[in-house]
Order: sequence, then structure tokens, then C-alpha cells
Amino acid sequence: MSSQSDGVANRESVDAHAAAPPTEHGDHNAVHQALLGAGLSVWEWTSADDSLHWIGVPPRFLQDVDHPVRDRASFLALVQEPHRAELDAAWQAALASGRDWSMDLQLDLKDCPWVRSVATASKLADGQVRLSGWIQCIERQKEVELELRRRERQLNALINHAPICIHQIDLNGRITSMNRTGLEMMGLENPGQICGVHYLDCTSDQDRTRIGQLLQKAIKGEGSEFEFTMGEGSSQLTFSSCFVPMRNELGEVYQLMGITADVTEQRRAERELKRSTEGYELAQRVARLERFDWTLADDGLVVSNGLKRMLGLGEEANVATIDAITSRIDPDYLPNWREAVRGCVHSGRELRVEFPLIAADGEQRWILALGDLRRDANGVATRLLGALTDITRQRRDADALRESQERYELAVRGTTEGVWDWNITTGNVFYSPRFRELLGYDSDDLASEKRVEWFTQALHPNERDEVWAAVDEHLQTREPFNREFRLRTQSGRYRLFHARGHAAWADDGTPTRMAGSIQDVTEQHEAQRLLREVVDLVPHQIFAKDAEGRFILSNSRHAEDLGLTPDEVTGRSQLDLTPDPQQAAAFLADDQRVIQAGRVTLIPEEQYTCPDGRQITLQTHKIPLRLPQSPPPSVGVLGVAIDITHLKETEHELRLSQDKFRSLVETTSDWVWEIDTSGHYTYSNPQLGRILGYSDEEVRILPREELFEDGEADRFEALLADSIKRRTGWRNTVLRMRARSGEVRFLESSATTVVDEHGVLVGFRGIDRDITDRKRAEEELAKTRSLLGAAVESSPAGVMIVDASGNLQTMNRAGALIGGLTDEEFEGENVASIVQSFETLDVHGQPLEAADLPLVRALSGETTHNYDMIARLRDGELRWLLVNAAPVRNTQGAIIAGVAMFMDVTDLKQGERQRESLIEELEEKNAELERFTYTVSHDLKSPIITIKGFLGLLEKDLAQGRDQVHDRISRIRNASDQMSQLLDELLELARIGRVESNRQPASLTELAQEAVLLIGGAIEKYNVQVEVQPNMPTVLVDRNRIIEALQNLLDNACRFSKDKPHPTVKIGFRVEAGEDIFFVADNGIGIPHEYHDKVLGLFEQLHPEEGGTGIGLAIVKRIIETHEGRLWIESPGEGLGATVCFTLGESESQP
Amino acid sequence: MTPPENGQPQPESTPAATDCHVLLVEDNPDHRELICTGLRDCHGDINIVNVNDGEQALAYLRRTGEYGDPQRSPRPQVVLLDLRMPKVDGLEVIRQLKTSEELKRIPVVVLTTSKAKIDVAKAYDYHANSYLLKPEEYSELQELLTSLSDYWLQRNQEPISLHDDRG
Repeated sequence: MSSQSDGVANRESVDAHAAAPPTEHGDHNAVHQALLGAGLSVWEWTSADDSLHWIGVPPRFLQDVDHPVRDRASFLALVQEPHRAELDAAWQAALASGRDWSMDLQLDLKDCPWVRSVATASKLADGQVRLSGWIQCIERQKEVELELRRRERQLNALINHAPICIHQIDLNGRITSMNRTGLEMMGLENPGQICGVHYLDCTSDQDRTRIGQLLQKAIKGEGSEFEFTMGEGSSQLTFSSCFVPMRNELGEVYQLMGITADVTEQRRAERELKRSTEGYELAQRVARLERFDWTLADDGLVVSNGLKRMLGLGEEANVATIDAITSRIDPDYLPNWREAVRGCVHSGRELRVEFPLIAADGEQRWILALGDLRRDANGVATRLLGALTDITRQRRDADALRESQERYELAVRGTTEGVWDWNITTGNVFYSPRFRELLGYDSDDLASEKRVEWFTQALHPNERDEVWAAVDEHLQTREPFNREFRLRTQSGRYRLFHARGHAAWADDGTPTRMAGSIQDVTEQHEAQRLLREVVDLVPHQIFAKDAEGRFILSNSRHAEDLGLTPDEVTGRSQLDLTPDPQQAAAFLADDQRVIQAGRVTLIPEEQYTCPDGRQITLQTHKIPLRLPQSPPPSVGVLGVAIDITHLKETEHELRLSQDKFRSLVETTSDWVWEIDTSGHYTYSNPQLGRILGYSDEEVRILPREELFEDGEADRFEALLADSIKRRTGWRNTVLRMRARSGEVRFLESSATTVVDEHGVLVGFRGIDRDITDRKRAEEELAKTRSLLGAAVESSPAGVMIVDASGNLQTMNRAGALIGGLTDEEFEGENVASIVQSFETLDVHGQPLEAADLPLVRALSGETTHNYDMIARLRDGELRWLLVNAAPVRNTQGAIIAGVAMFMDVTDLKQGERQRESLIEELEEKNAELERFTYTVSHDLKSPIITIKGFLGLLEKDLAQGRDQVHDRISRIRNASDQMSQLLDELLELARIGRVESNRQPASLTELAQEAVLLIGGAIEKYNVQVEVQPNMPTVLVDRNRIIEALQNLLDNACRFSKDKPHPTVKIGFRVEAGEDIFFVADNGIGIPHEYHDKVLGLFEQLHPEEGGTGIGLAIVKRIIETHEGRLWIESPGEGLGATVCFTLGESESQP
Repeated sequence: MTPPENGQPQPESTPAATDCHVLLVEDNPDHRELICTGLRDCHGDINIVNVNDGEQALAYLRRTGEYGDPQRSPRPQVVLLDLRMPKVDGLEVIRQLKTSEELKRIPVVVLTTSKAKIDVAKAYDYHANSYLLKPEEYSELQELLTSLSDYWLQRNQEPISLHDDRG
């Protein structure tokens, strides 16, 4: 069942357990209640009668179904295909094997298309099956799930197509997923091969510990970047990788994301470049090549530093002309040079010519010049690149040999042979006088000696037998007799002689006579021995051949390369000795050319296969060998061959290395270039065209201003000049260059110095990477940031950002405005210290702990919403602030800043407070009203109780005949009177608040006098002395009201002072703090201090026995209050009189 | 019977050291007379001490000022208390009595015209023992006073302090 395994079903499994379908009858009720409570609809179905029952409330969507859902078929009919078929199958499985199901179904209804259906089967005793289950509407869950899946798919597509390896690692360090690129990178076919593998098992042993530590750090939340290698030797791969800890909403690391890029090629390229450069320089040193670069068009010559010294050019001279070389060539050899150059330029032959050159130090050197022609696209020769090799030593070896040869020839010269003639038949021998001379005798001595025995006696005893054996052999074989032997001379010393001879035979073959000559070769032999020693010392092959190609000389090195000794070589022909007949023929052909031309010839390179199979390369000088003073043709060839195999191998390696370097730099996506110290590009790889659209040639000739964006050329010049001065390269310098299309390209440039073998800086070699896209992205980011910045700046709320250590980084203008900063202060440097100076208070005005400040809390990771606080600004003004604050985290989740947004809610708060005080006032009024109501009801009730009570007593009295009728009646009357007065005064009190008063200016003195007149009766009755202060201020008042108030006060004053001996009441005024205070003072019984406020209340009476209703002072208070005045009582204490004071507030007062 | 004089306690019978059945705290002289008459009608030999306001009531019970002599200010069996009075009102009297270790056991019965919720609530908050409304009809008043005296003076067990047997 598909939904059984899908992610949502698993996630929901907890719910499914909690609301497992009912299985036991006994549990039904409780379980059903729980299910119903969870919004699930429970059903039961029995196979016996195919009846389906809904237990409790059927699902709501059934209301939209027009057929009753009472059996399996009608239940299935609710479900859309293909879910209907799946459900049907599940149903059958449940019947057959009691399998439970849990699946999500799409219904064929409008409002509730997705439900979750869970069911369980149980076998009944009669063999029937009962299914119990529930369904639940999961429309919302399904939507969320689909959306989640959609996002997952997008994300997966992204991850899978990213050109880098992206993988997830769980907290145990095991890889849990890997994208397609990653699998390809590791040569795997499906994720199953890598999932579950421990990350460290993918690393080599040497990286294990290091990466293990990084992994542990990453699990603790610290990301890292690192490199590691896999595999061995040439298949070793280098990866650049990083761990990114992923955090959940609580900030806990729950897994790691790993990103790995294969940087093998990059690293290899870097290594190869380095190696190639080193190899190239090494080869250059070994070969002692001095390079030159001759531009034909302008005769400009650039030479390497060694050559500069040889030619006597200053090191600072960058360009010379070809004269620098030709002027030093031996004039005799100039034609050879010119011929060679012509051959090279016109006929395309390789330049190869030797000449003596007078070096700057005055010494003559033999130079081998080699060169190669460069042509432009049209085939026109442009440059000649070449090298000069100092071959002086090789030449010197050849010259030495020639000198020895001449000495040998001299030795031979001037000798004459001694002749002998032996008559075998007679046994007599003719020894010529020269013969005798050669043996040290005078020509006349032994003239008579004819005996062959004499010769035998002269022979060295060790050689006698050998010589006679040789003679015998000659006589028999008739092979020429040619032998060297030693003979004792007259002085007794032996000398070496070379004898040649030939016999004559009779017709029967009997030898009759043998004649020959001897030659003293002692000196000659010595010379040859010396020569041999010399030539054997030379480490090159030295040989001589006669015109027929027979070796007449072979030094040890030469013989060795033929696998023989020198003696074995001598006398044998080239054809015999050279294993490869083709090579032999070529050698002989060369010999013939030399013999014919009679000139020294250089065979720059010839391959030679030694008998032992070694392949060697020889560079051979062949010198025509001729007898002294004799004209051409020569008689043979003298050769000196240098083994240049190693040189060739080095050259070959060099070329390979250069090729490799070239292929590297030409295939890399970066622009690789070389530049000389004058800033001219000397090399560019083809990527230049891709990046800037220029060709190699163009970049050499284009002025820098064309290549660079405005201002950048100067920057580059400065960079170059500085780098030359400091003899260092540069790294990751971003340069803005201008492509051919006019488009700006951002190149990240890195370079190293290029020095020649003497350590002189000759230029720079570098790599520029096109980072335009990155730069664009950065610009976009910057734009977004500036937008964000503008949004913050123009935000009507204050915004403050602090760094991780709590220092203010930014505050926007709205913030400055709230903080009361002036524009100058806001633009200035001291914003932080001003903000720091604000006192922060909580809503009760208590200073805030630093730890409670929202920004401080933000830095410890807490987010604060709608926090109320107060800031006391510098001028002491309080600002109510509503603050929201939150931490700012980097991608690793570390807190790097805190941001707070705050609004000035002072007005709002003040409004709130006003409202609160208004409410308080209202409540007070309400309470007063309530008090009023019940005091009124109480005080009105009292007289009624009196009236009714005494009426009752009266009835009783009458019935019992008691005579207290008058007393009872008088009490009833008094109570009725009091009640009437009460009602009048209450009405009066109510009127004061209701009726709009009519204000007129009136003198308080005049009003007081009027009041005194009106209350005259009481004054007279109690015999009170009343005094009214004259000239009291004129005020704007409601006359009648104020008179009424004064009357009340006078009445009170009279009543409470009447028992004094001299009751006195005074109405007057005084000025206090610029305010007119009016008063009515008496010298009566006074009021204790604690009752000063109470007596002003409604119905409050201190002395009820004095009569009255307790409303009088309340009326006065009300009148004064309607005049915006205040009323209070002053009395030193009981018996000391009382003074009622009042003001008349805003009422215009006139003196 | 004559109206009582101002501010003076009005023992209705010959002062006897322990003879005080009722302390009547009432500022309205008419009501005072009605209550006294009513009480005597049903309970002829009753001793009633009259005070005019809360201040005097407290002075009597604390035996301060003019009530300094315990012989002349015996403890009442019950206090009948009006609420709205000058100076110290009835609620304040209850509060002070019921928070006094010495006086809190004396039964206090409120007898007032006020049906205000706040008065009823506060009286009980301060632990008044009973709260009665003054009826309008004299016959009803008499009935009330009859059952009141029957209950508080005849049936109710007088409070006893375990620590102090003075009262």
C-alpha cells in the first residue's frame, strides 16, 4: 500500500497510535469516545451481512452524499480511482488474512477530498470477519504535505544538478544522502552505495585524524573548510570540502551539510606549472643555452642574461640588434653564419651553424648556434628564436687530436727502411747497410756477416720461436709477412722493429728466397702509445677511418660503444662493426662527403645503436684526414663524436614539460599570461579571447588604457611598479578590464615573479580569473543591502544595530529623532556615547538591569516582542518605547549582531494614563453616587421609622389610656418636618449640578452683607456678633448661589458658636500665594482635625442633636466646585472655633 | 420616659455592677426611644446602656475617659449597633471591636435602615454577629425586638474566654 510507506503517514504515526482503531469490544466505549474527541468518525463492518455502522457521529461529509453509506460497496463508491481499487484490495486482504490498513484516500466529494482511513480486522467466533476503523478529514495535512513534497522536489532537483558534491551527514558522522554529482565524483552508481557509510571511511588514512577533528567540531556547530586526497599515484584525487552545521529552530545542530568539489585538476595544474617551470629552468642551466629572440622586422634582439654578459651588453639593456652577435663572429666564419641564416629564413632549414666568437672577456669561444623560425598567420617570417651553445671544449678536444696526428706523421717522416734478402737455398742473408745502422752498427761493420743465425741471435729470446713460426707460416701459406719484433742493438738494448716480407717459391712450391724490410718503430710506437693515452682520456668518441672506412684509430670510449677494445676495432671496417647496416651506410656516406669537400663538418645529430642495444645520439665533428702538406683528396676521416643522448633527453623532457605546461594553461578556464618588467604581455593563453575577446597579438599591442576600465590602468601600473620594486607577485587583486565588446570584466589577478638563472627579475607570470559573474552577484547583493539600508533608514520606527560585543553600529534617523538627537549629532561621531547616556527604566520608573535590556537579551539569543520600557533623554524627558529586538546570526548560526526596532509610544501611553485617570474619576463618581443613593435612602427612612414607630406607640397609648399623646404627636410632626426639609435640600443639591449658572461681577462684601440680612433671624436669636470685611474683591459669580453658600456657612457658624459667651462670626478674605481665599470664621465649638473632611460629606453630621440634615455643607461644597473653587475647614481643635475657607478659582477677580 | 440627654450614657435602671444586658449605639433620639420602649415592652427588667455614636461606644467598651470605672461600665450581653452615625460610624466600631483580643467575643448585632450591599458585606467582613433591618411598623419592630432579646439575652450562651474571665 503506497501510503503506508510515505513520509506523511510515518510522521503521523504517533497520532495513528493514539487513535488506533478499536479492537476489543470491552474497550469500545472509551476508545470511541477518544476517537470522537479527536474528530474521527468510527465505523464497523461485518462480513456476515455486509453491514456498515457508524458509531457515534458519522463524518460530516456524508451529509453531501445522496446515497446511504451502509455497506462496503457504498463505502467504496465514495472513493476516487485509483484509491478505490487500492481500498478494495486492502479490504480483501483484511478479509483474507486479517491485515490492517492505514492509507490516505481521495474522495469523490467537493469539500473533503482527502481522508485518512485506518482499519483493523478481527475474526469472529462464527468465522465471520469484523472490520473496525476510523476515517478522518486530512485536507489541510494533505495540502501541507503536497506543498512540502513540491518544495522538496525543487530542492532535490537543485541539489542533484549542482556541479559540486552535496551530501548530508548525520550527527554520528554517517553520510545520509549524496547528490548525483557527488556519486559521479566517487564513481558510484546509486546512493545506496554511500548512504550509511561513515564520512571518515571515505578519507585516506593520513587525512583521517585531521578530518575527524573537523567533523567533531562541525557536529558541535563550528563549520570548516579543508582539503583531502583519495586514491594513490596518478589516480589520486584532491577534494576541497566543507562542513556546514544545519540548525533547527532551537539553534541545535541536527545534521551537517557537506559540500565537496573536485579540485584535482586545479591542484595538479598548479603543481605541474611549478614543476614545469623548475624543470625548464634546470634544463636551461644544464644545457647552458643562451637564448636569443630576434625580431626580423625591426632587427630587435632580446637575449638572455648569460648571453648579455658574453656579448658585453649591460644587464639593463632589454633590446639590442643582431649586430651584437655578428660583430663578434670570427670574420672568416661570417659567411657561414649568413649562409645559415639565409637557409633558415628562405628555405626553412633549421638554423645550425658553428663559429668562433670573440667574447666580451677577449677569449675566443666556439659557438654552436641553433634556431627556429616563427612565422605570422600569413607565413611571413617574423622572429628567429634560438640558442647559442658554447662548444669550445668539444672543439679543443678535436684540435688536440689533430696535433697528435701530425706528430705521428712527423715521426714517420725521414725514416728509411733496412732491407734484408734471405736466400733460403744457401742460407745466406743480405743485410743492407741501413739494416746494420738500424741495429746500431756502423754501415761498414759486419759487412761480411751473411748468416741467418746472426738475425736469430739478435731477436729477443722471447720472440725467436714466434718469429720463425711466423716465417714458416708465411712460407707455407704465402700470406704476407708483417710483424713487429724486438732486436738487440749494438749497444745491447732492444728496439722495436716492424718487418714486412715476402717469399719466392720454385715451381714445385719450394721456397727459394724471402726478402723484406725492417723499420725502427720504437719511437713511432711510443708516439702511438702517447696518442692513445690522450685520446683515451677524452670522454668523447675519437676515431679515424681510412677512405675505405676501415678504422685506423679508435679511442676507448669509441671502442666501448662498439663493445670492443681499441685494438679490436683498429683495422676493421665500419660495416663490420655497426650492427645496423643502414646506419653504417649513412656514416660512410658522411665520411665520403667530408673527404670530398675537405672541410670540417658537423653532423649535429646522429643516431647510433650500440651492439648492446643502447640507443645513443651523437653530435659528430668529422675532420678530413690528410697527410701533411698533401693536397686533397684526403686519405681518411678523423672524427670526434659527442654523446648528446642525455642532452637530447633533457631537451625532450623540456619540450614535453613545456608542452604539458602549454596544454595546461591553454585548457584552464583562466587567463594565463606572462608580462615583462616593462609591462608588455609576452604570453597569453587562448582564454584571453574568451574573457576579453582579444587575440594574443592584440593584447601585446593594445595600449593599457584600452584594456582597462577608466582609472584601472593607472592602478595596474602602480601595482606593477610596486611589485617590481618589492620583487614580489600579487594575489587576488581584482582588476576591472574592458572587453572588446566594451563590457566590463572583473578579473581576479594573481601573479608570481619570473627571474632568470641569475635571480634577475625579468617579469611576472600570472593567472587572471574571470569573476565578473561573482562580482555582479556581489553588486546585486550590495544593491539589495543598500535597499535594505534605505528601508531601515526611512523606517518610521527607530532601528538600532549593535555588534556582538554590544557596541552600537547603526542607528537610523527615526531612532535619532526619538532619542532627541540633533541632525549634527546624528551625523557626528558620538551617537553611541549619547545613546549610552540615556537612562533606561521599566514601566514603573525603576532603573532597568542591563541584562533585561532587549538588545542585551538579543545578543544572548533571545527575541523580544513588544517590550515596554522608558528612556530618560538628556533633557530629562521620558520616552515610552515599544521595543522589538532579535539576534542576527551568520550562516553558521553564530550571533554576530543584535537588532532592535523601537517606537515612541509616549503619546499613546499618556493617552492611556489620561484614560485611566478618567476611568478612576468616573469610578469615584459612581461610588459617590452609590453612597449618595444609600445615604439618601437611609436618611429618608429614618423619619419614616420615627413617624410610623410613634404612630404605633400612639395607638397603643390610646388603647391603654396612657397620656403621652402630645409628645408622640410632636415627634411625628418633627420627623415630618425634617423629612420635608431633607427633600427640599436634596432637590436643591441636585439643582446645583444641573442648572446652568448665570455669572455676573459682584463684590464679595456686598454678597456677604446680603446673606447676613437674609439670615438675620438666626443671628438675632443666638445673639451672634457678625462682622463683614469691607472692600472684598469683586468676582464673576452666580450671585444667588454664592449668597446661598454664605447663608449656609453663616447659619452653621451661628449655631455652633451660640453657646459661647460672646459668639462672633467673621466673613473676610486673605491673599495666599497670589490667590484670594475667602472665609467664614466663628469662635464656636470647633471641629476635631480628623473630621475636617468628613463633615463636608452628604448627610454627615458631627452634632445631629443640633438639628439640620447634614446636607448644608455638601451644598456649599457643590456651589464652590461649580465655580472651580475649593472648600476646606480650618480649626485648631475642639472648642477653639472653626473657619470654613474657599476660593473661587478661575472667576475673574477685581479689586 | 424622657429623651436621653446629649452625649451621656443613659443607664435605664439603677446602675448595678454586672447589670448590662444591651449596649444600644444609636444617634437618632427618636429611634433610640422607639427601641428602648420596644425592648422594655417585652422584657421589663432589661438594662440598656445608650450611647450616641461610635466614638462613645468604643470609649464605653474600652473603659476610657468618662467610662474609666469598670464598675460603671459593665460588659453588655449584646451590642445593638446603628451604622450611619457621626464621628465614628458603625462599621468602624465593628472593625475595631472584632480586632480587639479583649472585645472580639462580645456579640454585635447591627440594627439599621441601610439595605446597601456594601454595608451588609462590610459588616459581615468585619465579623458582625447579625445584621437586622429596622422595620417601619411599630408592631414589626416590637416583634423583632422580642425575638432579638429572646435569642441574644435568653437563649444565646454568653461567650467565655479561656484566657480571661473578666468579661
